[in-house]
Amino acid sequence: MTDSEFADNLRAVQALRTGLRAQAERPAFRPLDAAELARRAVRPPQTGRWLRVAAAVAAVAVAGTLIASQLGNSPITAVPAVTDAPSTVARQYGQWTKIAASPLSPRWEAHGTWVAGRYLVLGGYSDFMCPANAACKIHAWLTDGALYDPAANSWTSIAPLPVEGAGADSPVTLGSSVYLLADGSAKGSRELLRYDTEENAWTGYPVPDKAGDQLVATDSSLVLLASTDEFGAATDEVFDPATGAFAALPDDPLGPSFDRSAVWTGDRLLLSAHDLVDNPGSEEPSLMRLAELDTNLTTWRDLGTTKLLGSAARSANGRVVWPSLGSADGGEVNNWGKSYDYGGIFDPDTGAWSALPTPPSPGGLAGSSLVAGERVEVDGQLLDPALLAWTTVPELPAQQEAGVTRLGGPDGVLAWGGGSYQAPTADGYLLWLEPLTYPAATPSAAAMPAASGEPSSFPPVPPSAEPVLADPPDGFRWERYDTVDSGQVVWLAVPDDWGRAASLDADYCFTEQAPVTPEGPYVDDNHGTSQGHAITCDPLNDSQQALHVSVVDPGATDTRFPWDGGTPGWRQWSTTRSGVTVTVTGQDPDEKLARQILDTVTVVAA
Amino acid sequence: MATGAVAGPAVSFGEFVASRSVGLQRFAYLVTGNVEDARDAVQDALVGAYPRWTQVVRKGDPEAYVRRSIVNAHVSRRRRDGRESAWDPSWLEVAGPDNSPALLDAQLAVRLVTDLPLRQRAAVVLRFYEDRSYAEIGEICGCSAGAARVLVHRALTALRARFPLEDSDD
Repeated sequence: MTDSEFADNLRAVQALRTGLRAQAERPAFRPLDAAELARRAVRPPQTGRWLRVAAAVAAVAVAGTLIASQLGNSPITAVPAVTDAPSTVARQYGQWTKIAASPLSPRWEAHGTWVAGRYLVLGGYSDFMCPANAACKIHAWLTDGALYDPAANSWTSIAPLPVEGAGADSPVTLGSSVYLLADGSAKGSRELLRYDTEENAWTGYPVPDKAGDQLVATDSSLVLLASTDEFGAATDEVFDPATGAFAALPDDPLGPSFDRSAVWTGDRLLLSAHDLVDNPGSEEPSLMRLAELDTNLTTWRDLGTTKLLGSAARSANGRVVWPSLGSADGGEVNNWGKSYDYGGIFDPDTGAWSALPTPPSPGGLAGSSLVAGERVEVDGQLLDPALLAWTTVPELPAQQEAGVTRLGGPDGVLAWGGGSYQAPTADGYLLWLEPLTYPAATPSAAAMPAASGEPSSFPPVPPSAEPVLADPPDGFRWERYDTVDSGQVVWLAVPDDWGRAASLDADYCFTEQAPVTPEGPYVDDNHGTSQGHAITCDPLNDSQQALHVSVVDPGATDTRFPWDGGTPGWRQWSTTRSGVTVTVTGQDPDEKLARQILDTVTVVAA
Repeated sequence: MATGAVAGPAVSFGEFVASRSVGLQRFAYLVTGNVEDARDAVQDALVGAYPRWTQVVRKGDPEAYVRRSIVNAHVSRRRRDGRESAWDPSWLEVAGPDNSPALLDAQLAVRLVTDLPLRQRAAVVLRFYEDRSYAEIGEICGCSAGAARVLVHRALTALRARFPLEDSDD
């Protein structure tokens, strides 16, 4: 380094020291309240602004309830208020029922899972709260656990965790065993701990150094997924319980990324992540990308970039749900030009997306992130993401205001432990979930909808069920759209060989991504809604298009189509039913087919 | 600058919050860019640390743990909501023609830090506001000491390039 460079460096260092100190002294900060922080620690973490957002969301949800009740189209399993309960656990839907006394001591924040027909409750803290400025003794994580059998209303203690401090993360179920990662501080390396319910025994497996720390159970193995590539390329491993061996998963196609998470959908692993770039989200939204790994965990497929900001995903009833409500627009500086939702619903079989419906009101499971059978927690309520049907969840008993353990089972939810901010309890409550009505397995003999107008002979639609449709014409299949705000379901029949895709990114003028000319006829997922899924810039020439059908919701704010409709030889044919407009865009020879499709359009309340 | 960190197995959560929460908010303010984000980040970090306090203290440096949580929480939140947080630069505008060269340099430095990527900004704050070693910076920012050195070096290089040419021989 030359003298000049040294002098400049010294000058830069002094400038940084002076500038940063001056800047840091500008605001007046006050000491925080330790007791208040401790109280929040046993609630879902919510800072001041988050609380305000939550209040706003709650207000919207209340409004949504009123709207839904007026429309009569919100499939909700009604639930009465919380009641205290008798000593037996009959299947009384819609209320928390007190269960048998547990062998576990009172505690906050125990973890658990559903395994082998029982709820496992594990660990937790029993000496938790600490007044401000007090030198409290804070106990380590408890190591005991117990299984609760809801059918017998009885508990069984299990062998204690073999490692102190293990189990601070949620366990994962695979078969009749439960797995969790143990902190390696005691033994020098991490361990994958397996609890076998049949043997009532724990087994430890040393984890490869670079393996990720998120556990995802597939049907027969356990994936250890890394959360980020920020510190070098992440290594994902798969654990085979039969052999006790780890093996590396193939590299995913998403490239360097962060906030990686995955769910098993029953036949594939769906990975979501965000591109690892400088200052993600600063100039443009950091949108979630998807890729799927096949059922053998050997071959990846890139599913592209979503329009969601994303969150941790859940899988239920054949859908993948990102359950976070709300949206973001980038703020005042470097605004993104539109708002992007955090959450949504994805059908991995069809590639179709649905918006998260508005919950009827905040429910008693807020912050639990649980999956109970076919339902997933959204804003404290339970949503069936395929039927878009809500099961409202009553508030927990008042004495369970903090640190309660909430676990999902196939047909119920267990709320155990927690307590007031002063003292924990060992009380537990069970909420049985009423079965939802699913679509008829076979088509009925109902007549096809009439060619125009509402089909008078169409059978009444039961709540929470798909309409019973006649067989489509030969060579056709039924396709379904869910409107975003009006609670309607649109059915139409299209030729069997048509695709279904969002071939045109409706925001192409924002993203500067030129649309790709579709390879063949298709059903367009970029339908217009009240949330502005229609075009935001000049329509494209029809010659870049293929024959396709589009749907525009009744509340759409922009009813234009991405295609100009004026290209010689190209036309658009439309029909409007119950406020929903369906349009076929095609060339002159397609007119007969277009009219056949439009004749099948049926709009029903969900 | 001395950080006044409280460490050791005897420190209680209450003692730590009482003695360090103001300093942590100042650090968070330099990392996040505004007062409200700073308070949120520190609160989130402390709320997250509380259930693990015994283990955090046992590992020997609760302040480093909390600072790392602040940095990570802010990076995650910025990525999720994309909200841009610029420092209030009002004190920069007070400077007039009779200001000292050192103050003008400090203004340049603050503007530079405002423009830095999040982790680099945190590294610079830790190095020049808190006098942390590169090993400590790496620990807090979740990178190696060498990577921390690179982050800081790049910031210094960028700042040197912004100095007016006529002053370059000072």
